[in-house]
Amino acid sequence: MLVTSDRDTSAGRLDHPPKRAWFFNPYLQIGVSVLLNAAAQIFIKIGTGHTTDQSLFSISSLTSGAMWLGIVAMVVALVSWLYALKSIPLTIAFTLAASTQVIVPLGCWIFLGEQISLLRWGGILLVTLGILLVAQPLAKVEERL
Amino acid sequence: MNPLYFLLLLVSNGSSIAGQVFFKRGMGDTVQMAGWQRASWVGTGIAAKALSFFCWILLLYRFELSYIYPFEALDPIFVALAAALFLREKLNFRLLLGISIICAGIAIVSIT
Repeated sequence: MLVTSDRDTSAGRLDHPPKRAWFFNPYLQIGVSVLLNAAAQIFIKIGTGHTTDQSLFSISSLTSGAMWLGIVAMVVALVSWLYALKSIPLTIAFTLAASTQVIVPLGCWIFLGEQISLLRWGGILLVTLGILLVAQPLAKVEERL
Repeated sequence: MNPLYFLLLLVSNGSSIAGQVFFKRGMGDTVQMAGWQRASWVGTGIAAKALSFFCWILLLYRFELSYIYPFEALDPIFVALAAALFLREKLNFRLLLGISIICAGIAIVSIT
């Protein structure tokens, strides 16, 4: 099961040959998916702010460029996500994707000017710790390759 | 948060979790199945995700993103249970501990 041949940059896939380009590492693709999803959330929030329309499904927000950017980011994130799911168990993938919960509040703080209280920072820290706990054994597997 | 918005949040999260299970069911490379079968699992997943997305948009009009987003992070525990139940994925202590800490962190973020 463990492939020890070439210690190249791609490392880290148990069930695919290590010759695949590093970009196709499924864990990297989870990262791509997480970043794009976080960006999508922020774009969509900006997009919904561009309209006063409160009707169902908010059609008028589709005139906003930010909304469309958000939708495109979401679609690309989905492709990366589906690719990663080919080889990573859903439980692991989804837990790693919880890093979105850290990135989105940070993004709201930086780009949208929303406030983060001290207690909320504590919660963000806990989420980060939980993710590290799950991710650490995965990193060890990667090192062994 | 009034009951209507809470229901909207439940529908948004529930269909999102179901969507993930459908995605994995269609994409998993350990299961043999025809291309059209994979496509229908993924398609159903996308439909579930679309429902989740529209509910989410409605919620975004009412609340700040950093306030409602954390609710979605309670999902890891439900996804883990759904994956164990429907996809026969194995859970271990470390994984459950990590997920619990994540959910605790989210709970704190949600009430602040």
